[in-house]
Amino acid sequence: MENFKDLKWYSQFFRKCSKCGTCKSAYSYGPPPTFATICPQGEYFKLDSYFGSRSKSFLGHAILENKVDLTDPAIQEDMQKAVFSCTVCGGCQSQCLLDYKPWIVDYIEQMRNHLVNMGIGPTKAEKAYQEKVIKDHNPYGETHSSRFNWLKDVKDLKTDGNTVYFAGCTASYRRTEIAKSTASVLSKLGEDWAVMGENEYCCGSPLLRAGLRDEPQKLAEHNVDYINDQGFKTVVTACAGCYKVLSKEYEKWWGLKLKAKVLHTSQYLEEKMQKGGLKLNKVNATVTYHDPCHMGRHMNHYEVDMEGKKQWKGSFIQIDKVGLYETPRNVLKAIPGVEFKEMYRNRDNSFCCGAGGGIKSSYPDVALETAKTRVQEAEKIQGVQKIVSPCPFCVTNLGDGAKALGSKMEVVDLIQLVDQALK
Amino acid sequence: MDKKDRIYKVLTQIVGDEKWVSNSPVDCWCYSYDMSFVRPKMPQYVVLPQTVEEIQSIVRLANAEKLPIVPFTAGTNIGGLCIPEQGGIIIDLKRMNKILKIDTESRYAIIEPGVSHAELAQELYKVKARFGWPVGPPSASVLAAAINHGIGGITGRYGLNSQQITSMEVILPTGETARVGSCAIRPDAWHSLLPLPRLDGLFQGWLGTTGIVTKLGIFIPPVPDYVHIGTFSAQNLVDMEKFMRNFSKYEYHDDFTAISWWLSQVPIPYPFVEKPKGAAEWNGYCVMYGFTEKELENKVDTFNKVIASERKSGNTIDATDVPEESKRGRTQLPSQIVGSTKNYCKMGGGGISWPGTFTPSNKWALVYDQWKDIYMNKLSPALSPAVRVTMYRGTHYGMLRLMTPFPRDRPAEEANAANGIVECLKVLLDAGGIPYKPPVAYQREINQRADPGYVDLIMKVKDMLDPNHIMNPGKYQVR
Ligand SMILES: Cc1cc2nc3c(=O)[nH]c(=O)nc-3n(C[C@H](O)[C@H](O)[C@H](O)COP(=O)(O)OP(=O)(O)OC[C@H]3O[C@@H](n4cnc5c(N)ncnc54)[C@H](O)[C@@H]3O)c2cc1C
Ligand code: SF4
Ligand code: SF4
Repeated sequence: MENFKDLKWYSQFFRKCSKCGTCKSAYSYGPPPTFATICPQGEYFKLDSYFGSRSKSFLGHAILENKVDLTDPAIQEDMQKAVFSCTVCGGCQSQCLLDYKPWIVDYIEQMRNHLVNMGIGPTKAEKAYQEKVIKDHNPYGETHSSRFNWLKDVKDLKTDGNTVYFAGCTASYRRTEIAKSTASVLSKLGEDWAVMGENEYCCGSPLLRAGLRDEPQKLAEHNVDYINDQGFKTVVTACAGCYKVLSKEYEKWWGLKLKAKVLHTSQYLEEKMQKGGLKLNKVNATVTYHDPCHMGRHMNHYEVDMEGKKQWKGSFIQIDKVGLYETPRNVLKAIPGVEFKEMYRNRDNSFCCGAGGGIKSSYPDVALETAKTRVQEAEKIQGVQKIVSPCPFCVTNLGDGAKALGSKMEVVDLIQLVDQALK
Repeated sequence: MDKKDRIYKVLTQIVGDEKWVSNSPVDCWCYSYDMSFVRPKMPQYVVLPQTVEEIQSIVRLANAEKLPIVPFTAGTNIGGLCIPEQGGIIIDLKRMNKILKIDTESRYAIIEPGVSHAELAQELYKVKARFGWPVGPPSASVLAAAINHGIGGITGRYGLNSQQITSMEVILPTGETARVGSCAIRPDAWHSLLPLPRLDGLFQGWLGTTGIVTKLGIFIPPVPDYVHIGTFSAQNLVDMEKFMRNFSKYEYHDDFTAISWWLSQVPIPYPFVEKPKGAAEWNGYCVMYGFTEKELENKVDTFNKVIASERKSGNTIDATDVPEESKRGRTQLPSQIVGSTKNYCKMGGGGISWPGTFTPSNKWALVYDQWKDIYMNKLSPALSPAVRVTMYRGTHYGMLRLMTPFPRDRPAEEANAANGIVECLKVLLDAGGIPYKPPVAYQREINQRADPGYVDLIMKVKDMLDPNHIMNPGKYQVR
């Protein structure tokens, strides 16, 4: 458990930002040398105050050392926009090589929390969904009782068993086809699975991303207590956001330990595959894959020498464990008939779908423009008809991007494709 | 409407959208300092134009309002050169980021200011062409480096990046556009500055104080098929320099560089640590290319012969065997590791400055000894003498630079480093070296030593081009 640290604590790291600007775009020598845009916020606003983690170190410095007058409402508004219009995708983090690197994502969220405590956040939209989460345990303003409407057609539903499917809010309310596909896959694979029913609350991710602390803790405690009390062995989720929170953040922030092992559906499927328990039929499609930030680079594990035993106090040593990059690709590639083509920007250098960090509600234009850019990237790959992603939120935003472009590109969840292959 | 709002409104009208203008202190703060020791200063406005016409209108507005303007591309110059000494408008040129032409037959490219090294490197690689990639940030501007006498991986063979300029389009401080080089005579001819008068000199090395370059033609030589990286070490800089001087007369090198032990550490130790006994104080590399195997063989053969003959005469120079990976780092440019400052600042803590200089090679050792004395004996904490020397084309002078990291969050240590750097600069100037991309603190020292006629001419040129003194004022400490 790390506990939340206050913003001042992070200054030992963000003041180590040299302002080199490497975080503003992605680059690798190769050969061949490759260059790509990486920061959705910076690409939209273009000002250096919005570009990469470089901008965030400037802003943190301004906040902590009163370099701008944060009692002035106009300045408060500008600060809110600069800090809250970032998708917190971590694209910048992947580029940085200084000791600031491991902390970048947590630090951006801590800046948000700091501003929330100063009354300069969350954004109006986030405030609105915060209230909805408190009232109905989901950010969409739907009633809690309708959370499980997607389950109406699912037969033999159980609330106990080996494995619990944590559907999450987006799949439950907005992308019910993904929830249904997940249920269908679990059943087809003969899994002894259950749902939490009305005991499933929002995982807390949307509130955490907005810099809130107490409300997500309550949600976390509720979910952890229930899952532990029921004695589930495995929690499966098809949502990248829920996956990050359940598998990493409950324990990291609040020391809340789930007794069950948490698996993203792609991990669950890969495990099955490795045991020879996944017989997939042909699905003819040429597809590409979009890495959700929360499942990919957000799950990188950074080795940091906090004690100064290997290098010096607080030095970033290496990424000793990478996020879920290969697992979903392995599943995708295992489907016969699927021709897989990689996006130009992938894995650590993937370009965010644009929906994260509360942006879809607070800055919908940024979210949409980002999604359009990503869809256009897929369109450039010859023959690709579908973008596959293992996250309902990415699927939604990229789908919106495709629609806004009038594109023929289909955006589907990995679990839908697997469901199709299992028929 | 007060002046601030009025100017904001006009800027918005010029660039067509509020999105591309800010007068918010939040945004302005993020343009108020850089990685160097130069103290922060706030602009009042930031504007992001996309066309030449928009820049012209901004420049005209600035003249009418007597507001300073500072061209900005990425702000990575390590000299506080984009920090607005007298406030005013930052003109951030990153939206002008088109590679307008790559002509592999005439071997030039035309680029806008916002084109980064990373982007151009990607495109040139596709056509087997190259440029003088600095060891700077991949996201920094090719144009900004070139017009400020940037140094890159082909400087030994072809000269400084400014020597690769073939033509330019500039917006003068009074708002008119001007072209220099062949494109001045025929709009689609961007191949050469010569034989016309070298008017480009009015805009090179001027640190954005004489105009805004909006298009730049640059020479893009082909990538040869064969490469060899010779590595060597010496116990001291006297020996190292002697060897470098003797081999460089052949002009066989694309990049010919040596670094002190402290700079060869990744990252530079902060504060100073003793060099282990027995470790060579200087290590170097020489990148040699050939279009044919024979050409390269001849170069390598000569290189080895010069080392042998130097050793015979008692020089401590010796060929070394270094891992292939670290050799590759010498040609794999732009470099993310160096550009991200990992090897400079990772331990020091965010701040970096240098006296980066052009100095006759026979003065290197003299200056280095004095620098060492200052860094190791006169500062508290003592700092690492992390020095680089590089032979330029012409072989008689080159880069002598002292990379100095410091912790951003410890003001006393930052001041200690700044003080050491300025002391080293004085020593350098007194030995005849000249700093490039100089922060204001260096400029004062330069002017104190300069021939009065030189300072006077600088003032006359500035007065002629920039009668209202609005272009990045203060940087030359004369107007
Ligand atoms: C770690 C590190 C290593 C470096 N190594 C090298 C190296 O090896 N060689 C080297 O040459 N540099 C090096 N640099 C310096 C720097 O990265 C380069 O000079 C870089 O290309 C500057 O680009 P920029 O976009 O950051 O320019 P900025 O800092 O934005 O601008 C530099 C100057 O140019 C002016 N300017 C910008 N655009 C225009 C324009 N369109 N018209 C007129 N004036 C303009 C600005 O006002 C300013 O005075 C290094 C920097 C770092 C951080
Ligand atoms: S965040 Fe890292 S990559 Fe970005 S400017 Fe700072 S040090 Fe450089
Ligand atoms: S987290 Fe993503 S959107 Fe935010 S600054 Fe970094 S790259 Fe940009």
